[in-house]
Amino acid sequence: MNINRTNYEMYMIDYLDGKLTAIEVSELLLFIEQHPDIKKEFDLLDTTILSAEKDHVDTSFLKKPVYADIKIEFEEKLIAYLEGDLNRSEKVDLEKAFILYPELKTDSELFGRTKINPETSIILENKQTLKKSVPLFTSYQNYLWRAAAVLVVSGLMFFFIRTPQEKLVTVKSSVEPKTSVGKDHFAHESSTRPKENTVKIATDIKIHRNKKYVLKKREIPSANQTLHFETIEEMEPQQIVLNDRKDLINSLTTVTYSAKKESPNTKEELHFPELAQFAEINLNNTTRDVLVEQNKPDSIVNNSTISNIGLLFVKLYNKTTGDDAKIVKKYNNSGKVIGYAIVANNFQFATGK
Amino acid sequence: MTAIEYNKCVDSYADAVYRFILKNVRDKDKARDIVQDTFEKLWLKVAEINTEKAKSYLFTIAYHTMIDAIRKEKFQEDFELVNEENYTTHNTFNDLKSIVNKALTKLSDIQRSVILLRDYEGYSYDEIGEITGLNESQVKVYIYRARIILKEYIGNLDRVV
Repeated sequence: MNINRTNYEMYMIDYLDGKLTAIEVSELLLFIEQHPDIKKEFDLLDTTILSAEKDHVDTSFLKKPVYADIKIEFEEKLIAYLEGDLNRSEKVDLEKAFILYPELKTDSELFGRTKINPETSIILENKQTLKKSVPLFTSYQNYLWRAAAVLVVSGLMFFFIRTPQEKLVTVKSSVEPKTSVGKDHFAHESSTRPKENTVKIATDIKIHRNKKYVLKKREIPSANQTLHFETIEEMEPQQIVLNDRKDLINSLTTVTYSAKKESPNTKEELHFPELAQFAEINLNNTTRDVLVEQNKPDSIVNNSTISNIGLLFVKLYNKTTGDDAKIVKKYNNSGKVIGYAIVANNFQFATGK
Repeated sequence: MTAIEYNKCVDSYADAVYRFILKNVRDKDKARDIVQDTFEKLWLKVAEINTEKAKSYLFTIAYHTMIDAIRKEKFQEDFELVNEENYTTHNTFNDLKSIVNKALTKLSDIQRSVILLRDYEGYSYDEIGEITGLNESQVKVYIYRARIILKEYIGNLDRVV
C-alpha cells in the first residue's frame, strides 16, 4: 500500500468505514503521524463519524426469546393443557406458540406419551374370595328390620284376624284345613292348603282393639314341635307400648334385641303371595316408591295402613339385605288362620295364637 | 351399604384397586395382600359407607394400606430423588407400555400414586387429595413434576433409540 498526499483521503474514508485490513490501518496511522496537518484533518473527521456511531439504538429488546429460554414456562403450559387445566384463552395462546416454536410440538407429543392408560389385562385372580356371604345380621340396621318385621306381624294379625287371643295354640299335623278364616282375599288359599306339621307357637304379641300394641318377651317353643319359628330371646326395652303408627315407627329406631335362628326348612310350604298382593293393591304407590328409594320409614306414617307398612318393611328389608323375605300365613287344624310369619332365606319371624 | 352392594364393589373395583397397587409395589403377592386388607377394612365399615362413596373410600384405604406396607417392609427404595441412573437407557423396551412402566419406577411413591389415580381412574385433583391426604395444590405439583420426569425419561430414550 502506498499512501501519499494524493490518495490518503480515500484510505481515511475506508478506515472509518472499517474496510481496511490491520496492516493497512497501521500504515495509515503511521502516515498520519508523520503529517501533522493531515492528522488534524483526520481527527476532525474521526470525531464527527464516531459521534454518529455512538448514537446507535439498542434494539436487542425487540428480539423474542428462543425456545430454550422459555422451555420451563411452556412445559408447565403443556402439562396444564394435557391435564385440561387451561382455559380457552390460554389454549389459543398455546396454539399460537406452536407456530412460533416448532420445538413445542415435540415436547407436546412427549408429554402426551406420559399419559398412562390402564392395563385392563391386569386383573385380580380369585377376587370372588373377597366377597362375603349375605349375613343374617350385619348391622344395627338389620336388627331394626327384624324388629320391624315382628311388629308388622302383630299389625297384620290385628288387621286380618281382629280376634284377640293370648293363649298358646297347638297345631296338629295331618289335618286338612276345613274352613277359611280371616279376610276373604285368602279363602282360596286356605281351602287348598295342604297338610301342616305339628307346631306350637308361643303367643307373645298381644293385640288390643284400642290400638295399643304391646310387645312382650317371647317364650321359647316346646321341644316337640316340628315347625320352628324365630324366638326373641332378649329385648330392650322389655315392653314397648305403641299407641299409634307413629309410635310404632319411632320404636323401630330405638328397640334393640337379638334373635335366635332356627330351622328355616318349611318356608316354601308357607309361601302365601296373596297377602303380599293385597298389600300391594292397597298401597300408596307414590309413598311406597319414595320410601323404597329413600329408605325412610317415617314417610309412610300418615298414608298407609299397618299392613301396608308391614309389606314395606319386608320390601325394605329385602332391598337392604338382598334377602327374599316373604309374608306367609299359618293355619290351625281346622283351617283357621292362626298367625302370620315373615320367612326369609336364613330366618323366620312368626306370630300366632 | 348392604352385603350385596359390597359384593358388587368387589366385582366393580377389585381389579382397578389391584392394578393401582400392583403398579406401585410391583409385587403381585403384596398387591393381592393389600387389596385383601383393603376390602376387609371396607367390610368392617360396610354399614357406615354409602355405595356412591365406596370407590373413593376403597382407593383411600388401599393407598394408606400400601403406604403403611411400604414403610413397614421397606421393600422399595425411596425414589423421591431421581438420580442419574434413572435416566440411563436400556435396550429392553419394545413398546410404549414397557417404556412407560419403566418410567414409572423413576417416580417417587407419591408421584406415582397421584399419576396413577389421575390417569387410571380419572380422579380430579381434589379427589386425589382426599385419597392421599394432600391438598389440591400439592397434588397438582406432584403431577406436574411427575409428568416432567416421565417426559424427560421418554424423550431421552427416544434420542438414544
